[in-house]
Amino acid sequence: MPSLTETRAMPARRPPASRSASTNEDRFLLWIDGVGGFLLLTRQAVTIGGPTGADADIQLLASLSRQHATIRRDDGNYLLEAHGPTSINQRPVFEPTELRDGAEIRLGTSVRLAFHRPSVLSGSGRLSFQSDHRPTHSLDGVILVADTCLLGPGRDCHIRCPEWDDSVILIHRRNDWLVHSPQLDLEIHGKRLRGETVISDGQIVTGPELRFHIETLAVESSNRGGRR
Amino acid sequence: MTSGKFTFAPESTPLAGFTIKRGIQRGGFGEVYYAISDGGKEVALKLLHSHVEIERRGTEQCLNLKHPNLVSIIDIREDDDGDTWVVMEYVSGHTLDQVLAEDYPNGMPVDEVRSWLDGLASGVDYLHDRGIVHRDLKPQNLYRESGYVKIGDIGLSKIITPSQRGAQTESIGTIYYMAPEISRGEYGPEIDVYSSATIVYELLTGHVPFEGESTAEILNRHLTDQPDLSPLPRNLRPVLDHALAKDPAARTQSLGALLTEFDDALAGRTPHTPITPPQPPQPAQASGATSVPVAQPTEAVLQAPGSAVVVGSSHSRPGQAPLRRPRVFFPEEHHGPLSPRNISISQRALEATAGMAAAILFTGLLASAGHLTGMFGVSEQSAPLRAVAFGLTTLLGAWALLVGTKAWEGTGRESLSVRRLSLLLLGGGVGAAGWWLHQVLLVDLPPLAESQTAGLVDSIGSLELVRNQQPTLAGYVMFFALLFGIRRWWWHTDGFRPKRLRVLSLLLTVTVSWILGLVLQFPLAAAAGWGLGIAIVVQLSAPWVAPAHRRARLEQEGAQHA
Repeated sequence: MPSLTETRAMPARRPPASRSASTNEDRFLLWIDGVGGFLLLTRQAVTIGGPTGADADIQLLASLSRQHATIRRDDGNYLLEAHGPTSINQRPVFEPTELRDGAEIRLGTSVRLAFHRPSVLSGSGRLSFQSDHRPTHSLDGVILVADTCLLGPGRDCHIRCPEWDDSVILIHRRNDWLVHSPQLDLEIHGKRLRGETVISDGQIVTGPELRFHIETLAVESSNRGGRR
Repeated sequence: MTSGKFTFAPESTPLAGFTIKRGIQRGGFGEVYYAISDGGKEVALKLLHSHVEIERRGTEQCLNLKHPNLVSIIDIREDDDGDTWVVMEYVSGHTLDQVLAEDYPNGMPVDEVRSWLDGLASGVDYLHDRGIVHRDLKPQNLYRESGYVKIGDIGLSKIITPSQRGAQTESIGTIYYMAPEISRGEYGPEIDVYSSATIVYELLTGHVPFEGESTAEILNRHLTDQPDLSPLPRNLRPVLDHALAKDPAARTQSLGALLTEFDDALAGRTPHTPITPPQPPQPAQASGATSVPVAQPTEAVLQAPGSAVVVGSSHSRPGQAPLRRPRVFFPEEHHGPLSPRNISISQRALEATAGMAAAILFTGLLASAGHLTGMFGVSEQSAPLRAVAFGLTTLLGAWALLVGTKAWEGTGRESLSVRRLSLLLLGGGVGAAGWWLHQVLLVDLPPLAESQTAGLVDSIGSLELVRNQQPTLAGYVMFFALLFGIRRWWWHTDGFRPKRLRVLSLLLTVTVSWILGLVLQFPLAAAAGWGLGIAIVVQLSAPWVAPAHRRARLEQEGAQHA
């Protein structure tokens, strides 16, 4: 089965500080019809790196160090720690630096990412690709999930779905994904959802003119040796 | 873009070797999915729904075309159920219509438009050179990835007939870009030029040239209406006029030629060869559409009034990056009032009307401010009426001046004495109306100042100017006539006056009205009040063109003239 886990190459050691001890899944792909594919990352600290050797959480086909930068969620704020040449809003950074809404991150010479926190109601943030660099497969963005991920037509959504009539909330709670929409009628296998409902891996959620599913990226020891 | 309901579910494998991840797009032509092959290659899978055989034949022709600006077709496959799938290169990123909607709802910068046109022209000319007409160019089919414009849906959607268009609402997006001759069943490469020109038009303005309530209306407008070129940059109007020609034979012959004309127009060059037979200038339409003969963009600039001097017009080879517009300098004295301009009567009428409407607002504000600050009496019952009488008279004066001066703005023909005499007469009329208003409303002007026991002129022949401390009809008429006749009011209302509101000019007007009050024994407070009030209202209300925009305005007026 093809999956983005294959973008993770050889096992490698990673700085222990950047990994939690948990073995629970923390990388997911969200596929939305008519909108795109998004990487959802739920851990506190997320590493960004190049394709060679290392197993960064966001591994870009770009000329970057194995672990080029870490973005850490800390007390509601996002801090970027640079391990390789990095600038934020055109200013080179060496110390851990807070990422504010709208920050432009430049990694190495050519990778550009934008950081957004579109909703004040959610601690989650979004990384979007400004340059043409992507993981080995085309992703449309990365969501750093603190608690919730909002999908919908509004500008305050983490993932904008312009054609949708209203928004859908994905909630990450105790290693489960829950889905809820205040306005839209959502279904799984033709069964109407009421309130917050747990969705399991690969279950397809449908609604008026919308369809999406979450794919869990397996924690495979061969791919993620650094985590054993 | 329709997210709609897709036939196949995510993670299904209807076509062996490919796992569907999500739906991309759905329409009358079929469904497109994002899928990953067993080897890990990401592709766009298109399931053909209708007219499968024709679509398939069209796609087969294009299967082995290679061009950096075309979305490449990898293969055509049949699944176990006999359905036909087209395997295509997956292009990430937004389509042009998404870019337009998200980032440029009111149109893109010309450089950006040019870069899209460049890739579009290169890809479409390659197709035409191979004998293939795309037939369905539209922003939804254009992408940009890694700096390359990519044209999608090659070899698909070949079957476009007006009847189907009418029946299929899904195709409504396409109809905006459909050349008129398609209704006669003609599908030459010119239809791609026409579609591209509508796309360029949309990129520049944010909307397509022909919109309508129904498919039939849009079709009909493609067939009969002249596109409104007025929202376009002036230099580009002839270029798009040429490319949007109804007659395919009169149209720009290729996208390369369109790009060259585009670049030439931006650089201010005359096209190397006359492309169309010279057309007689068409009368401007009510919508403001203009038609400039195609072969003379630079001449039109040169014909602009004020003897424009074109400098800095660089000469570069066609196909180079767009050059800046030629810098056109008008001698300084032509920026001001009295400069001969070709302002159409309707434009002047429009400006006068707009000014009159604004004058209502400003007079209202002025009179209210005066009333609130107690200028018309603090506690008297007649204070509000006085404010009303003052305001109405001021408004009448401002209106008379706006209408009178706009009538000759830009003509530069009348002698100054003719202008002064006309204004004098208008002023007399306003004076009479003012007197009548004060009689009707039963309000008095403030009493004469102590220094005004005797005016230099207190009667004309047997006509008294003052009676019982109040100006008579003759007094009103004389005051306003002279106030209007002495000041050069056309300076106050001209669109090209140095500043919107000139304090110096206000002070001068107050002084003049003050002196008039002294001379004619007209109550000084009222005299100064009206002088100041009318001057402020007229200047604030009269439309004004900022100096930076005057060149463009002159060019535009020149174009309308041409």
